[in-house]
Amino acid sequence: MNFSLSLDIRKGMSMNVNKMMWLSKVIFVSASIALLGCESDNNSAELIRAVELERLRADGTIIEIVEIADDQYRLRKGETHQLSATGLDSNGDTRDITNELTWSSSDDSIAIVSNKGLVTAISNSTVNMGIITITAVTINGMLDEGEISVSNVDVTAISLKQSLPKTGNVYTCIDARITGDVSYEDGYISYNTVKDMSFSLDDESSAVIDNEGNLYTSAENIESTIVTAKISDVTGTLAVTADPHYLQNIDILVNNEITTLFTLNIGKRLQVSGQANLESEVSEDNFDINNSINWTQEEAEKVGLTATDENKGTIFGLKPGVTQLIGHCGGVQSTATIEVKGEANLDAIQINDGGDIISLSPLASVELTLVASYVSPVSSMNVSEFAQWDINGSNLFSDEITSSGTNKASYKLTSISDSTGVAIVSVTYDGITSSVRINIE
Amino acid sequence: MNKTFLTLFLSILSYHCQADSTYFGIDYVLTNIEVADEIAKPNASVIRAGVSNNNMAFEIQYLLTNDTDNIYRMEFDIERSVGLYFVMQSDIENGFGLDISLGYAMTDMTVSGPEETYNGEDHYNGFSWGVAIHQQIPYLKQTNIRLAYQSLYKKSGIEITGIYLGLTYEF
Repeated sequence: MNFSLSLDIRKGMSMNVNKMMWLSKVIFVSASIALLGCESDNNSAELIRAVELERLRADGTIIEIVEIADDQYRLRKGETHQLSATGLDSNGDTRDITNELTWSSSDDSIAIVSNKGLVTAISNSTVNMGIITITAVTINGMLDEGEISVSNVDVTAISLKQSLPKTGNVYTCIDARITGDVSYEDGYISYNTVKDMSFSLDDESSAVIDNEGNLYTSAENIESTIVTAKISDVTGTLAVTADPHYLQNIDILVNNEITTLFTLNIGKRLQVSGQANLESEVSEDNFDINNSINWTQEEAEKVGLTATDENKGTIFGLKPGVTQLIGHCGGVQSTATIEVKGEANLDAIQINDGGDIISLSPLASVELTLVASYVSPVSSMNVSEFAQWDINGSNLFSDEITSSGTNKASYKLTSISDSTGVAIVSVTYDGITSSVRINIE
Repeated sequence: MNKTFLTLFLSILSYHCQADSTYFGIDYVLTNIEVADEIAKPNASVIRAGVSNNNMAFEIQYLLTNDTDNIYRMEFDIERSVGLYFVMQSDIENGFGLDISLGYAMTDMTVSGPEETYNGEDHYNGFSWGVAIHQQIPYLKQTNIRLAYQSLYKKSGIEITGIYLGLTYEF
């Protein structure tokens, strides 16, 4: 009995000791976790900066001169503008240091600037033409200042100019850029900008210009183009001359390699691109001319060629055989032979799901997809982009090919009035014709 | 934080009354001072003393550097580092054991270099942890050889750690 009691007491004590040990561990581990994040030091930020500076000094990449670009720019409340900065380092090299700088604004109530140089206009100001100063400082204290203006007054004048090249004639086929100096009612001038501008060219020009002022030229002879930029009712014009005489040669590239012969399997797509070289006394560089080059082919039924839009230069294997791809610009051309491999025995074509009638509401759109079915090998391909569509004289629709250069290409019909009516749309591909009736109701 | 340190130290002294063993150790330390991804590795020595009871111990460490090391033109010298730890000890199997220590360390470090770089004695105080393995030395039953990794300080852009190799003697 006594032994039993003694055993119970010892057992109880043992359990209490174990509990205390367990409790002690919990307390000390908890206390340690509580210490996490309580680190303190008196100057680690300065030490880290000193080490980073020493690394830059040792690499010879410490910045000695900073220059902010894209400033002298007018914003309205809520708009943003990306500034950039270049730096000249102790090796004499220039690099983009936009993300290496500490950016600050002289008046955060008018505009703020992020640590990547993105300026956001907070409020319009009439004080000093809304001008604030943006400062960019390197880790070693080198700095530059730029100005941004935030105001909402109207434009009074646009003075267009060539940004690329800055002077002289444009080299035909090589991308050029047009920007403008825009004057405002309060006297402020925003430099080298295309903000709010809509561009157009004279009707005689073969050139193309986009909303960013990029001008693409391809004429065989010297061509003058009148560029017009418009903001509200204010316009500015500039005469630009494109000269093809310095264009030496054009190359066709597949996977960034110059090529004159390549193969393509039926049903596969491939992107080709063009590059040009100028006379050596002008430049030794290779120029990407994808926006200017014009693509044609000898036998259209062998490959499908996307000659315009976003996927310009995409080719699609349609039928086996050999054809020639020709890239030409500024009177110079280059040719590549394409061997299309595989089998394609056409069986039938079908518009959308094969129904005879499609209905749509006035002012609505419908997309028609043409699928070609093959018996050998058994397969099908979207050939909407490479078929001949016909709305048979109907004036109820406008039409366009959408998503060209992709497997989602389609022929899009848009009703252009409130009128109801009927149109027969027919399509021919590889000698087979199909049609569908479109009811606008 | 020094009051906390003192309180912990007094707790250790009182714990000593219930301790079933005390120990003393001395280690060689290869420190690793990492600042902005650059590293200095001055050599150091550390003395350790602790009291142990039921697989738990309280330990105090005092570290002094034997030399300095540089990052570019700046010399790094750990003047001293004092740490207090709660040590969780595994059971000893065939003389082998594993310890995990959690605590608080106060480290003083001097950096010197050309005027345009950085000069100063800085204090790095905060959570410290470590993990150690030890093996009893045959024929020296009260003596262990010990290998440890210890983090003395860690914050964004700066970290002070060390690899410890030494001996521990249990009384």
